[in-house]
Amino acid sequence: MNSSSRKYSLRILAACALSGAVLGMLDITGWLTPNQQLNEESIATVNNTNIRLLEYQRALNMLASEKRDAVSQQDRNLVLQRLIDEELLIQHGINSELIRNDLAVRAVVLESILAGIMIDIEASNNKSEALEDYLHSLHRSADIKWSSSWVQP
Amino acid sequence: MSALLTPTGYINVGRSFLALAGLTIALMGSSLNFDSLTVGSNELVLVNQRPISLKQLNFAAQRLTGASADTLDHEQKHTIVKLLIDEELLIQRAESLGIASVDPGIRKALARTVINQTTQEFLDNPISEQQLQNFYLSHQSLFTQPLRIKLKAYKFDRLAKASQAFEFDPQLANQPSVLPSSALPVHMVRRYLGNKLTNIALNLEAGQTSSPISQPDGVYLLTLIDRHPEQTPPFTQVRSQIEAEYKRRGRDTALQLKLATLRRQAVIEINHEQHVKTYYE
Repeated sequence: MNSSSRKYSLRILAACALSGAVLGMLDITGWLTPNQQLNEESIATVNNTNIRLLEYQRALNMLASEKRDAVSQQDRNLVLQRLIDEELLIQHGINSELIRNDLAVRAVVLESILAGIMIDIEASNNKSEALEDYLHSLHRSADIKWSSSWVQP
Repeated sequence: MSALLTPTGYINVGRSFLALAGLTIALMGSSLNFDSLTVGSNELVLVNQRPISLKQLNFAAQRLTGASADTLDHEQKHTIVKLLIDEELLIQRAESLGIASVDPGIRKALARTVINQTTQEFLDNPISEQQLQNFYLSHQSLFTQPLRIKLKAYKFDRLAKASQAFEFDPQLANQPSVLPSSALPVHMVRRYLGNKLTNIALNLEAGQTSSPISQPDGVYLLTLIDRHPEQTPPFTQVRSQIEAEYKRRGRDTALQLKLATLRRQAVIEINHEQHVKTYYE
């Protein structure tokens, strides 16, 4: 390898290392995460998740139907803060792996995804076969590694 | 080794170090989970780097068969593991579709479970007798029974009828009362009779009947039967109430603290423009 091509290779190496460092830093600091901008349809965002204006209005209407007096500014703030609290709890639940580790939540998630799949394959003549096909397709695209100590029958 | 100690060697080492640092930072930023790339000793299988552990197998065996996995033969265990793999694949599918954060049923289940876990952490702490006594002393008003009065209120459509009833039947034995026969706290009496009649009733002596009182809806006679003064029951008498209230407040506080922590860690933005706009709609 001559001196000029060696320098060129080193420059490429340095450039790649620098880009890697910059990209890594950006990702660690969350700059690469798409930032959900507040738009007209959202009343707030909680960790980049939108709380829809429609949802807020629905909660306000519900409160108004239960109240004798008109809904005040304080009521509006309270409703918004409750929606933010709810979103925080849900995000905490997802981050805590409740979807896998809590039996009740796990059951609701599985029910929901299965209901969605069943709607998708409603047209099929044999539903159980269609569900099996669906699961097979998930298996085919998955990376499944068995423990060496587990003997498959 | 001696080649490395030359100036060029130092430069190369420096460059390699920088390249390695860049690679390390890039990998730290990525979501790769190195722990999950190999099957650990307690893990039976990895499904897209997600482990299914022996603990999960035991738990599922208990749930499905009512018995520990140790009591099952290998084929039965394998069937359960395959079921867990199917479930894991479906959960991963749900995650990739973002169902967990939009499905109302799942959202409700998640919020409820987080609340239950948070409050359970408080309830799991044993409560000492001293804590309850301190709570009782600092919140005595919560356990104080308010003043209650046993009152009869007779309603007539005309003043003449009220006066006649009062004159000929001072005990008003034949008249039906518009109030329940039990002793009531003052705020309940106010709800039934309004402020004016209640204030008159509060000034009566036990056994005394008021003179006829004209109101827009009729004429009233009030007889105070009995007066039960405000009293604070001793600790032992209301211990179960004290404990229930202590737990209720503790659960609320635990949840508020949890929410305050989550808020501190979160990035929350409010669309003030829309918030103000909805006020005028």
